[in-house]
Amino acid sequence: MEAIAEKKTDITENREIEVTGESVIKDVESIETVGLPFVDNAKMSMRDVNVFYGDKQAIFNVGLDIGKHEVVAMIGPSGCGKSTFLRCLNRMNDTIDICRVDGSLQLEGQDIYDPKLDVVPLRARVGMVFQKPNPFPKSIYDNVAYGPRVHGLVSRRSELDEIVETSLQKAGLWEEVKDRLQAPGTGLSGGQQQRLCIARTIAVSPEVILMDEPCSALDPIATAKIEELIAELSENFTIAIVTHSMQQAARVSNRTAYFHLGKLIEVNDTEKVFTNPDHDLTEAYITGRFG
Amino acid sequence: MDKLNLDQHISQQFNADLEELKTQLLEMGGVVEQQTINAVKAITTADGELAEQVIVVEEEVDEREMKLDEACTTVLARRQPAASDLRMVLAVAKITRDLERMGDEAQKIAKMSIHLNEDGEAPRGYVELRHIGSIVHQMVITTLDAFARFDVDTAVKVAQEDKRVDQEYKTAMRELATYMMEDPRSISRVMNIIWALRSLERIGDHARNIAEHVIYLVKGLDVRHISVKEMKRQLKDK
Repeated sequence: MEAIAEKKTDITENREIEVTGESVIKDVESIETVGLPFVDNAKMSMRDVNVFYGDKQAIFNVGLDIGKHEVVAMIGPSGCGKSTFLRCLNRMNDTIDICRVDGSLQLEGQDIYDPKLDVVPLRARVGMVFQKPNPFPKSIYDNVAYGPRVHGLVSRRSELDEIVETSLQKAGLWEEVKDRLQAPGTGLSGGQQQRLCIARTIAVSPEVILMDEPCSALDPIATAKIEELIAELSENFTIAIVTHSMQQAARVSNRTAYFHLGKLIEVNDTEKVFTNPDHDLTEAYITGRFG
Repeated sequence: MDKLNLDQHISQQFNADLEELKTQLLEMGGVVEQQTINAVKAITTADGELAEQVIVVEEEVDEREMKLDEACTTVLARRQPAASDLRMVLAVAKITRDLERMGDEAQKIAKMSIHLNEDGEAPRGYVELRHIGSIVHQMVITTLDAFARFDVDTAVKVAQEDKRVDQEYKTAMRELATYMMEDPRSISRVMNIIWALRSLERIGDHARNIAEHVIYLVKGLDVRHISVKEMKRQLKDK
C-alpha cells in the first residue's frame, strides 16, 4: 500500500516526526492549539498557563475555557500534563513545593492564583474527585456532612440532614445507603465509595467539579453509573474530567481537549474529535497509532 | 494524495483487520465490475449462457456482502475504532451495500437479456447500451481505484462522469420513446432495453455513491446530495 510512512513516528523523543511521509510537526515547541479552546460563557478561563516542577516545564502555554454546565474531557498519553493542568484549576498543586504555575487562571473573572485569595473557599467552589475513592474513615453520613460542617454552611441539624440526603440523592447513592447512614463509608463497594466521594464533593455546592480519572478503579457497571451521574450533574455543575479511557471521554463530554507533551494540541466538540479530528497527533492518539 | 496509515497502529492485529476489510471490499468490487461487463456483453451479443452466469454469480456477491458486514461488525465491537478508522469501517459498510445493489442491477440486465432472447431482438437501443455500458464500466473501475488509493480527486471524477451518464440516459430515453410511438409493436422488446439502460444508469449512481463514501473516508466530509460544483468547493475549503 502506498500509504506507508517513510519514517517511523517517534513522538516521545521530540524529534522531527513523519507520520504520513510529510512532516506533521517539525518541533513540538511551536505547536499551537487547534480547534475551539475558547467559549462565550466561560466558567473558568485559563490563558498562557505554564507549569514547572523545579526546572522541568510540565505545561506549555495552555489556553482553555471551561463553559458553564459543560463537561470538558482531557485526554492524552501518560505524562502529557492533563492531570497537572486539572490540579491547577483548584490549586491542588500548591501542596507540591517545587511546583510553580504561571499565567492567568480565572474562575468567573476572579484570579484564582491571587496571593490574597484563600484556597479553602476556592476548593469549596471548585471541588475534586480523585482516581481512587478516598472516603474518610467515618460514617457515610459524616463523610457527606464533613464539608458543610467545616465550611460553616449549616446551623441546624435538620439542615445538615437535608444536605446529606440531597447530596446522596444527586450522587445516585441515597437508595442504597439510606438505611445505614451511620455505617462506615469505607465499608461500601468501590463504585459506591466513589459516588460517596462525589456526594461529599457536591455537599458544599461547588460550581465546578474536577474529576481525575474517577472510574479507573471501578468495574464497568460502577463506571456506567458514574458516567450517568456526570451527565446529570452537568445540569447544575461545570465539570472537567481527566480520563485514560477515550470511550469514556467520547461518552460523557461536550468538548474534548487533547494534551501531548505538556501542550494542548486540540480542543473541539467531542463528536468532531472522535470522527474527524483537526490535528494529526490527535488522530494518531485516538486511533491507537502511538502510545 | 491523502494517506490513512491503516498499517500504523500499535496493535498489529488491528492493522491486519482493517487491511482485510480493504482487501475483501476490493475483491467484491472486482466481482461486481466483471458482472457489469458481462451483463452488458450478454445483452448486446444475445449471449444467453453469459446471462445465466451473471445470474448465478450474483449469489456470490450477496455472500460477499454478508461476509463484509460481519467483518465490519466485528471490528466495531472489538476495536471501537475512532476518527479515520471509524470512517474506514463505516465507508466499507456503505460501499458494500452499494456494490451489492450494483450486482442486483447487473443481474436485472442479464434477465432482460434472457427476455430479449425469448421475445426476439429489439429493433433499437443496442448502440446506446454499448455506449452507456462502457462509460458506466469505466466509472466502476475508477471508483474502486479511488477507494484503493484513498484518492479524492479520482472520486470527484466519478461524480462528474455520473452527470454525463444521466444526460446520455435521458437522450437515449427520448430516442427510444419516439421509436416506440412510431412502431407500437416493438414496445415490449424496446422496454427490455429501457429497463437495462435504467439499470446501467443506477449502477452509475451507485458508483457515484461509492465515490462520495471515499471522500467521507478520506476527508471526513459529507458530500452527499450536493452538486459536483458544490462538492469541489467544499473540498477546496477543507
